[in-house]
Amino acid sequence: MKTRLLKQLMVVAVGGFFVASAASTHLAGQAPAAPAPQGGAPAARGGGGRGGGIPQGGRGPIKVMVVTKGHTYDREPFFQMWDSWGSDITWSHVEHPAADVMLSPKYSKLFDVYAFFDIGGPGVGSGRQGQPAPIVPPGSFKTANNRFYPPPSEQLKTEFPKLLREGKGFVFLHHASAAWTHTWPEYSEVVGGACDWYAPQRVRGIDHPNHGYFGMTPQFITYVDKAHPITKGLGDGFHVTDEAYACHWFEDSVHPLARTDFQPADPTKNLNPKVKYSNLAAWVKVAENSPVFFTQVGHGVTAWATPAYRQLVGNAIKWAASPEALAWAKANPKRIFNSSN
Amino acid sequence: MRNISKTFIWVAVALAIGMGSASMLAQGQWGNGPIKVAIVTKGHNFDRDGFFAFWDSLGQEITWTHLQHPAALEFFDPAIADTFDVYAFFDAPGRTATPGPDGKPTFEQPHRRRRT
Repeated sequence: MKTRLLKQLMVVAVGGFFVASAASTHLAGQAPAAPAPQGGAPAARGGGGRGGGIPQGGRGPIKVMVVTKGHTYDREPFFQMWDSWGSDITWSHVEHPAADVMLSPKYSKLFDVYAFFDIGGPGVGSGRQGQPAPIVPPGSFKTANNRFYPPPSEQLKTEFPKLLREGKGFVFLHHASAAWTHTWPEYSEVVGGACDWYAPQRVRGIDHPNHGYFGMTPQFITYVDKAHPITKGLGDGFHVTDEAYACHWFEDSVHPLARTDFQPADPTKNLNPKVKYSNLAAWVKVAENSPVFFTQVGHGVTAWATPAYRQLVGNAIKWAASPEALAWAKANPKRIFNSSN
Repeated sequence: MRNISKTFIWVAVALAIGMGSASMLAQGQWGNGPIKVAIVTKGHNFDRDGFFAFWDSLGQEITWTHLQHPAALEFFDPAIADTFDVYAFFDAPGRTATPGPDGKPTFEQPHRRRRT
């Protein structure tokens, strides 16, 4: 009797776990979390990081604000990547809408670098049949396929340009290229490109169909400027399996650091034929008086756990905070916002 | 035969439990409820996936935002505090030591906003 009961309990436990974990993986749309990296990573549970190891959030000299929201992600492995840089940086996670408040010179003494893995102003659909209608923020931009995109707050529109003019390091990762695409075109000029995979859009006056995303794509990322402080000493490039994009990158406004060997089968499905597909995978540029780094790589754990990817982004953070990068940006200012901002 | 039937019942129970968990997960990250909650952390390590999944499970009632120190303390200001309806704390400020020139640890001090 006991044996039978035990077997039945096992069925419940295993069955429940299987269904829940399958659902979790499916709903997240991402690969399962990678194991914790070896060495240097803090324990996930307990302790305050006072046992000699590096605590969660790091304790390095470069102060980084990490901005997320607007796109779901696999949280623990993402944070583990940030912790892996913990001897160089101290990072703080600040999500929208709190981030919109903090992106101001008023609070700029707190951080050296602002790192974005967000989609500011993400779109919402018109809802599925039989489900409650989504809440559409007032003033939203409506696309041809009935998606609604909220505009940035007046405070953010006013303060963010001032922060850029002050001269700070900015790092944008992967889907951060889709922030405010429909409602704040100057923001795309800060990043160096624009994406939206869910709605047609106008970028730099050119009408595009939905941009393209290609999940779990094996790629080789080639460094095309091996002398830059970010890529110096990193070799020719690295292999990674990650989501690739077909988006409108501003080739004429950025300094390329890396390119992918991925080519979409038919770029015209995702880009207006007036815009040639760009295989840019990483670049630097200036926005107002601030140095900017962007990489298209970094959707999920397969990239975050790749040592070469961590080296690239880790170097980018250190570069963005460096006096050399700040001096370079101030010597080569790029006006994006009009003077009233 | 009876044993097989019982096993099917138990499998059904297992599926129900699993689907319940899946339903909780389906609410998505950050929730979409009317109560705006700032969740403040830092100063003590924690199991991030489990902790955030817990907040996601409340997602029909709340929309939550993670906010860490030192940025969190800036919201102790009436001018911007109404960004959120509720501030939830799972933090432990004042425990992070920085080695001084003499090697002795010094601990961060309460922020002026928290004091005033």
